[in-house]
Amino acid sequence: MILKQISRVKELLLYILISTSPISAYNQVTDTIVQLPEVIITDSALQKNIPVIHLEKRSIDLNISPDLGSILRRESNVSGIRRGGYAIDPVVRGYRYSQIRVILDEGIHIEGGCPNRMDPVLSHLNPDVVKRLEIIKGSYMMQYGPSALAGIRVISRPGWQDFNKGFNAQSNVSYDAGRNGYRQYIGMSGSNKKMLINVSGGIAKAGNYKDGNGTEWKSSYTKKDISADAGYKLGKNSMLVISYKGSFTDDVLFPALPMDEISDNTHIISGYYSHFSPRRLNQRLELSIWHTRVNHLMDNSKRPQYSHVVPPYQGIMQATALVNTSSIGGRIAIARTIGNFSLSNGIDLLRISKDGTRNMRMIMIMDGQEFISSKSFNLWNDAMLLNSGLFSELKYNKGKFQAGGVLRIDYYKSHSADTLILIKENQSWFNSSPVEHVLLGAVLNASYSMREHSSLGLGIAFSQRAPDMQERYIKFLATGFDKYDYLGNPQLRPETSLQADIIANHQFKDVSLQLNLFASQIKDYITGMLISPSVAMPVSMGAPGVKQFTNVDRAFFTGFEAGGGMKVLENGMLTLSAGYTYAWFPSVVKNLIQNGQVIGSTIIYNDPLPEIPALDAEVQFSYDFTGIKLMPSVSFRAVSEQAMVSESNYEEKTPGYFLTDMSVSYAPCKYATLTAGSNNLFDVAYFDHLNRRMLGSDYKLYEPGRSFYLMMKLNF
Amino acid sequence: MRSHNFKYILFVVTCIASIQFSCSEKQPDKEPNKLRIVFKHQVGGQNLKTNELIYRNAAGNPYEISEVMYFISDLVLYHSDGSIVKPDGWTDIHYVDSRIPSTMEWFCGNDFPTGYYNGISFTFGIKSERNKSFMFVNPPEVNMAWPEVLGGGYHYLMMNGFWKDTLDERLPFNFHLGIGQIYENNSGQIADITEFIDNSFTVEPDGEIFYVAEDGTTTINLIMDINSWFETPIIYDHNRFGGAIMQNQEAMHIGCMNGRDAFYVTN
Repeated sequence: MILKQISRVKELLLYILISTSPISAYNQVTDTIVQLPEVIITDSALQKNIPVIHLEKRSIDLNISPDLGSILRRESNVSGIRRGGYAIDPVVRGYRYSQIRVILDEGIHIEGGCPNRMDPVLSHLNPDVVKRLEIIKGSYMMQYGPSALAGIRVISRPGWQDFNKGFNAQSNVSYDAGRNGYRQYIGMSGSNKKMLINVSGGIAKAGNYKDGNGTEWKSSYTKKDISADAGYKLGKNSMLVISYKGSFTDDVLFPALPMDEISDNTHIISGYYSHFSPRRLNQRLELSIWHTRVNHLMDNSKRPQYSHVVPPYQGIMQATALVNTSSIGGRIAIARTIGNFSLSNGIDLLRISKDGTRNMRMIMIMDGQEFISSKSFNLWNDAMLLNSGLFSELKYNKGKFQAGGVLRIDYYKSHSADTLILIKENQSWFNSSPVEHVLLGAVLNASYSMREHSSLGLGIAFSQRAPDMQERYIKFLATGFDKYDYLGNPQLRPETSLQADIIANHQFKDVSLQLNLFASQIKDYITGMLISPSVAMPVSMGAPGVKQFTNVDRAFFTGFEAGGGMKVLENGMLTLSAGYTYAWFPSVVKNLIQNGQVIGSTIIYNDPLPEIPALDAEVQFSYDFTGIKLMPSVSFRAVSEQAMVSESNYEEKTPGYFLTDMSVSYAPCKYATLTAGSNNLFDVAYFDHLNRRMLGSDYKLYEPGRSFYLMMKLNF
Repeated sequence: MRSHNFKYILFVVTCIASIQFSCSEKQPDKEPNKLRIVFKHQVGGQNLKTNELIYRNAAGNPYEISEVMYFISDLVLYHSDGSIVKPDGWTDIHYVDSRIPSTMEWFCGNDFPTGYYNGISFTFGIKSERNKSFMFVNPPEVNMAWPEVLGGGYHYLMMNGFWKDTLDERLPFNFHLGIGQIYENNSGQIADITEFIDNSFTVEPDGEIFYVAEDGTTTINLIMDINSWFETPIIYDHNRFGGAIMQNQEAMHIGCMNGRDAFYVTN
């Protein structure tokens, strides 16, 4: 009887493993094989049976990096753009920037300040306060504001379950020998039946890293975070939570960008109210409001050309930029259950504003005299974006069959006080008149459990993504993967996406498998197209020309994610995962360039999109020596050569790489965990396909070489 | 039942997998008529030899040239049928630098009508309404910056070299043309600037008739005679104006007058 029960528990564990993403399974098993509580999702409105990875706090805490972008990058078919030592910008299935909607909790939007994306959304958040991450691989997230082609939701807010927990203190300390970096976090929380208070703070500081060749990259940073939550129960059925998060960075160096981040101060304040009907507990009301502010200052004062003449320049070149952004928003959602149906309706509102200026100075010696020329440019001039949306969701669950659907409609308006008007030969290239759109979205999904541990699911999503602030209003900054300056286009049309996913899960004995195939078509895909210097000339140092954001007829994405888990020996776990995206333009214009001059153009058919990650695969093995409380783990990650590169964008191939990481965790008591490990154990010199080029060169920024680290986690 | 499910999965997987993975295909358009201008610098009909003090101008100054850099813009072609053709080109400002071979040729436009052309004209330098500071931010063009306090924008011409003065001393000269300044009481002090002068000028070079062929690239040579900058209509004397003329409107004006006939076209 006991043996039968043990066998049943094993089956249950494996079922839980496959019911989440295989990739998240990798991270979970690094912590412990037993993961029962970690996959019970109670505070997510997302539909089931859609391609989503749930990353739990325990998995996030295993990472040495204070950068959420760097942590996500290990997931299958999730990659990242590296521009420096911090703030990896995530790419999901080849979608990037605002094609991925990154939100905090119930839709909190953080508008980054840097046009070069030194501060992508995730860089404003401290991993230590994150309770869970959801990576939605497609346009399936429509319940938390305007939809995009993919989504990342960061859950950090305390919930009902955090009351009545008494006093708790947590300390995380880590040291990274590879870059002489340390990270420290202290959090305290206290709660009774009525109230809760959380206070925490952290600091992360790292020096430059060296790549596998021993080359040092100027990539140091300092980051400080504070966070506080206050919760109060209004009776048995209502809860109010007020939260504040602050993030403050100093001297973050970006060798692939023309400037460094001198400071970035972020403030996020939010309020959340939840109420259950006392008579009908399946009826729930949620209200949330938020406000965020980002103040971003960058300059080139840490570059030689700021104080010296650096050939081929014949003068001192100084540049400074200051950008202020703010967002304000709110959401109301009402959910109820009737029989086998769950209904949820809601409205949300988002307003983003952005204003920034760049100042340039050139100091030259001519005929024995020093001359200073200076000029100020607006990067954004009181740019504003307003989005209000309405969504309605239905879920159906009966026996082996589950289905769901979401409908969403948005009203979108944007405006800028920009005075730039570009008209050339009767063609208007830039004119910031107000723009309005009505955007539609719909999701359908269904799954059927064919046998006890096998299921097949289908998801279809239709969505429209309005252009973001950068695509609309940016003026002459090298924000793309290439060296070109980019110019916004206020008249862009929204991207329209139609995506389909097929998700199959299967299990036999101790082996679980999952496969997700996907295909999507994006109409009016937004990308940069080179425009003539007679229309606009670059403003950024090193930019060979100007590209303007333009709607291209259409782009296609297709690929897969696959994975599996297998129990090996008594307490060992082997997991495998792989992911691949292939994306292409059916036809696109290629400019022919000779001697740096455009001498003509041609049409390229079926040209791969630029900046699409290569095929990646990972194998991980861990073993839990329960008797001595030791758990070693080793992982192998292989990324293939990316040879499917964009001819029209003169994109270059990137060689593949193979990495080995290992770690050992020791838990001497229930309050403490010690971990020692090494990333890139064999000191491989490599760079990812998405890494930016080193400024002023044709070679890419390398990834860090071997690093040894130590972590200590205390939890009382 | 199991077989039925397997077939169902297979069908769905096949549907997705049937999406074509195809490689890039290039289908070139019909090649448009192009015009390539090759820039040459000569003295007395011979190619310029830099850094050799072997030349003498009309004022009798022995001189040598180290480097020549300039902008030309607003190119216009005169078709033999009487029409005026403006290049539907990628850029209408071109930078020439004697030290950078790639700048010594200019693919100045596409889709030129086939036929004979009687000549061309262009602006030497950049007209004031377009000549704005920070218009160029990258070398080599950025190094042509003209100081903001002297009018801003960019040099039209930088011709640097050496001449021998009356004492036979070898002295450097910077024959630089750009926006001129008028000084109160000819003080030459920046604080006394009362007016800026647009010194850019139109050049209608003499030369040969050329033919633009269909579906191909036609090449013409645009030759600058260095000596011409120092003569016709006014003789320019280094001993009079010295080595630096950026704040000397009279010297720059003479340079601009002389530059009008410094170019000619050959096939």
